[in-house]
Amino acid sequence: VIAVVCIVIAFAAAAVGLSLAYLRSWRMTRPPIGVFNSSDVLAMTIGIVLAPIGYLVLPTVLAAALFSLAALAILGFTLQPAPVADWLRRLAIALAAGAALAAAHVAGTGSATFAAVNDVLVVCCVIGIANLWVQTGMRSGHLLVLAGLLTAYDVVATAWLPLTADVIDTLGSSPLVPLVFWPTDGHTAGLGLGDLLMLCAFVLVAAKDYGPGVGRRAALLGVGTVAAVLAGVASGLLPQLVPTMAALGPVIVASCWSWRRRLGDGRSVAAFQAALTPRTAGARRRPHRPAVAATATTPFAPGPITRKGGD
Amino acid sequence: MFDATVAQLRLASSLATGRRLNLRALEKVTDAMCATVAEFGSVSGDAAQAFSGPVLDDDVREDVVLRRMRTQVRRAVEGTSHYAALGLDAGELRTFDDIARLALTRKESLRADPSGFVRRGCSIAARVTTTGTTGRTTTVHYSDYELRVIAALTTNHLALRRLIGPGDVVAQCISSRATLAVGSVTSSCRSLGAVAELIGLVEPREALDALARGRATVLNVYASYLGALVEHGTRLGYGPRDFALERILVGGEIVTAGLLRRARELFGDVEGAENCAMTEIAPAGGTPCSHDHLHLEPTTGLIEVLSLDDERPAVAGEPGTLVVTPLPPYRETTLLLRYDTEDVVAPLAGPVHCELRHLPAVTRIVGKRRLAVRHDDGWTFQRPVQEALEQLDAVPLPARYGIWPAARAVGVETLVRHDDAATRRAVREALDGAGVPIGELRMTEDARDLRHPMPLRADLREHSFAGSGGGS
Repeated sequence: VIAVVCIVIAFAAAAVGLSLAYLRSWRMTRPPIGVFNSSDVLAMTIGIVLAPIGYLVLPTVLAAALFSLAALAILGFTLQPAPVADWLRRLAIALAAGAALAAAHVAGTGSATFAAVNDVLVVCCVIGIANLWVQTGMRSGHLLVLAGLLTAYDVVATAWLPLTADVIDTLGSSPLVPLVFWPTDGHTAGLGLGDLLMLCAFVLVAAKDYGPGVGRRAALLGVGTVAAVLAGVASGLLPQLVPTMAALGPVIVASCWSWRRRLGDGRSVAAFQAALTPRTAGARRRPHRPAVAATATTPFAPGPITRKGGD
Repeated sequence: MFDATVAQLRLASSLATGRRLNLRALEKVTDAMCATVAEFGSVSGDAAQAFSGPVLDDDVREDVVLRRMRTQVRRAVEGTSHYAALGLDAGELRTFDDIARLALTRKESLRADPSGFVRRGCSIAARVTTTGTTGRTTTVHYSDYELRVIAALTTNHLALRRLIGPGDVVAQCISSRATLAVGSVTSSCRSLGAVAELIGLVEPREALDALARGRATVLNVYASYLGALVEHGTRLGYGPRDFALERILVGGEIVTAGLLRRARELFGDVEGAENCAMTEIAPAGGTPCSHDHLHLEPTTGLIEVLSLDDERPAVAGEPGTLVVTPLPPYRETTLLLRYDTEDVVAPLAGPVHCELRHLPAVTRIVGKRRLAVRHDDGWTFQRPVQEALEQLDAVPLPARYGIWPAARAVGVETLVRHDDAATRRAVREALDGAGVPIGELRMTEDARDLRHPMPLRADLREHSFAGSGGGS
């Protein structure tokens, strides 16, 4: 049981580490206009609350197909910044889908083989979503609100209602399960996709907003909290299906509140990226022009006609 | 992002159908663009399509413009006394040839009766006057809707071009009567997190002091007043170390290479950006590109270039007057059909390959028709003369000069520092090099001796108590 718990914790830690590496190395394509804001928190909360209900209402096959397709789409945009040819990226996604299907049908959804494939795919999806949030401007304030709302939802849906259990049952036989888990005889340790996502977002927001030191502390705190919950479940102190956000949520909320109070609103994405790239000392601030200058003409806004030395 | 996406969809729907823009959606998208700049440091070029709609192919674009033109003609006939008297029929406008048969609207008509062009039932929020550099000032009425649309488009443009950004201090050395320009740039500064400071057209000595003390990073200025600043700044011993300027947004008049070169000698390694705007046709206007073209946004206004001689469409390379019809959904109060701006440009030959190649283009404005000279070899406009003069250090900035028909060519007079043989030779060579056929050349060291001086916005001087004590 300890080994199983350690495997799941290792997947969680890997998700955190790889998310940070992704944040530092790759730039996701973002919408031309718009920054992550409170409307996104609201929209996501509504989506997260309604999606499980949708999965339960829909026929099982359709629900599993929808979830798998959504996961592959997320995998697609996660791999989008990878410096490889498009065909190679598409091949990787096809191979992932094939591996998940093969593992589910050949080894069975309760096998370690299936768990390994599933967990890798779930970690990849989590890396992509968490980075999308943070790279489009999610701040600690947004995470604080989102964590608070999802904590309340998780307690209701998992501890009070059978909603989470029903969703796991429904999607349990699909080629992709919204969990990072590892099976063993008589016991399965698992961490929900949503919990892992919040853990990664917590660490990424900390690192982006307040620097690598705060990010490292958040990683220790977050992974430690998750490990404590998994250990509690494994030791029988906690029930088999426990709302992890009930523990992780307050940690995130308290940390974000504390950071905001002590350190302020946090850095913009531009400031974070600038901090990653050392500037030449003494360089004068001069933003370069966008490469594409496709713009509407406007009455009192100038357009470039003479660059320095370009007369 | 979610709310910005919803707002963009609402805006796109208005742009596609030509219906009135939803101001809340427009301002939401503008706010989102400003937030994008603050968060990411820039916005991609694709963001422009949120405001102007997607890039259309020529057939679709012509269809859209024709539809909007019909709407505008119908509104003008039904809603304004000036066009009602002309008895136009919007239903007859099926092609661009039909549009070309509509009579031009002259500046004199608008000056004589500005309210005759105002659509009945519109709620007027501002009466905006032009600076009147080609004669008496002209009044144009705008609704609150139009003012907000213009402000949003200005912000969009400034953000896209990264001309103003968070933390900038934007000094405006333009006439404080230019309410549309001052208002929209000030509003943009507020949205973009910059500080706007209206210095006005005070004594250049005061403006230079304000620029230096205020550590302005952006200067929004008329070309001739920039010239005055350069001249006074050099004389007063200012240098690049006294200023924090990074960009100069210059327009309202002809901007020459010589002016920008000399401005950089005073202000340092600054970036120059030129605008092409006019109160009467806003928000239609032009954007200069890096290849010296003037690009015109076809969805905000119908643009025509008409021959100076007979008002037929000008052919490539032939100078013509820029005729503009501001279109809905951007313009709804002062309706102008085929407004003759008197600005002279020339259509370009062949396709262009610049960064704005998806927009129709003409040459840069070469001058005002009523200030140009017709002679045996054709026309001489202000730009070549001014380009020639302002490149010479012997000519104080802004170049004060005049042109007139003389000896079947062009008479040129100019203010110089020293009226001596060397200066005369340099001026003549520069004018020859610019292709100006000199019939007579006069030089003077006293601006009052000029007989045909070009009007300069720098002379719309505003007084202050500080300025009246010293003078310059």
